[in-house]
Amino acid sequence: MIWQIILGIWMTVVIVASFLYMPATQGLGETGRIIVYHVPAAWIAVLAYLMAMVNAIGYLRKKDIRLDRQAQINAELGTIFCILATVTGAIWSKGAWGWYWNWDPRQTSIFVLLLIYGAYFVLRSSITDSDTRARLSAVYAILAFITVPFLVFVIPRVYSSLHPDLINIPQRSLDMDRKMLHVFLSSLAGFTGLYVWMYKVQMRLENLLYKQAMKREG
Amino acid sequence: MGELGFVLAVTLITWVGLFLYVLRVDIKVKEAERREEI
Repeated sequence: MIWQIILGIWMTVVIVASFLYMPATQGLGETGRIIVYHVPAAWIAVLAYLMAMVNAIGYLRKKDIRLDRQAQINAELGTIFCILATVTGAIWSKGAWGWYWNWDPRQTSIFVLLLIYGAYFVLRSSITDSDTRARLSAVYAILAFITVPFLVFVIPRVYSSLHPDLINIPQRSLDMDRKMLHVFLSSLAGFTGLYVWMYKVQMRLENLLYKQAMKREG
Repeated sequence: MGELGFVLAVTLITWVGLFLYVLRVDIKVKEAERREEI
């Protein structure tokens, strides 16, 4: 329970610091503060989708149904954080570009990513046999993750986009104020902690439900 | 500060709400696990 409380306080401090300690972003103004939530949410989405693929490979190798449940939980969490990244991005877009949505390459690629993982849940819900569902979902989760690096890192950089880039490629550094970097990295750590916590709670809940289902079946 | 203060308050309320919700689920799962052991 202690680390959950620490996480609660940590994220509260990050939120307050993102408004009161961190300066407004040059060129982006006050709306630039959303970067502290938008980028970590996108990072967790990629991490969770990666973990879903790792679990899926594990399932195909070991045929352990727990790995299928882990893959499902990671895909769910990835999608929650992906939606959060999309919403925070749209809020920023309204402030910077005047529209919540204008089909910028970044917005289009994240929308496609959400559709791909939406189809994963449709696939899961359409198969009743648990072994078949686990096997097909595992194959799909692997194929779905192959698209992630392209949709998140490649396509938005190939096509001209208005989306600001944090990474200064020629200098190989982050284009960020020192105070902003402190808050940003703290937020990244906080979001990662939140993901780990949510994953563990969901996994324990799924295990309980599985045990109860097994008992009922006798 | 007015508008910024409002956004800060909304963000904090959202975070505290989410935090308490996950904490509540965590505690309930812990209780269920304890009952399962007994």
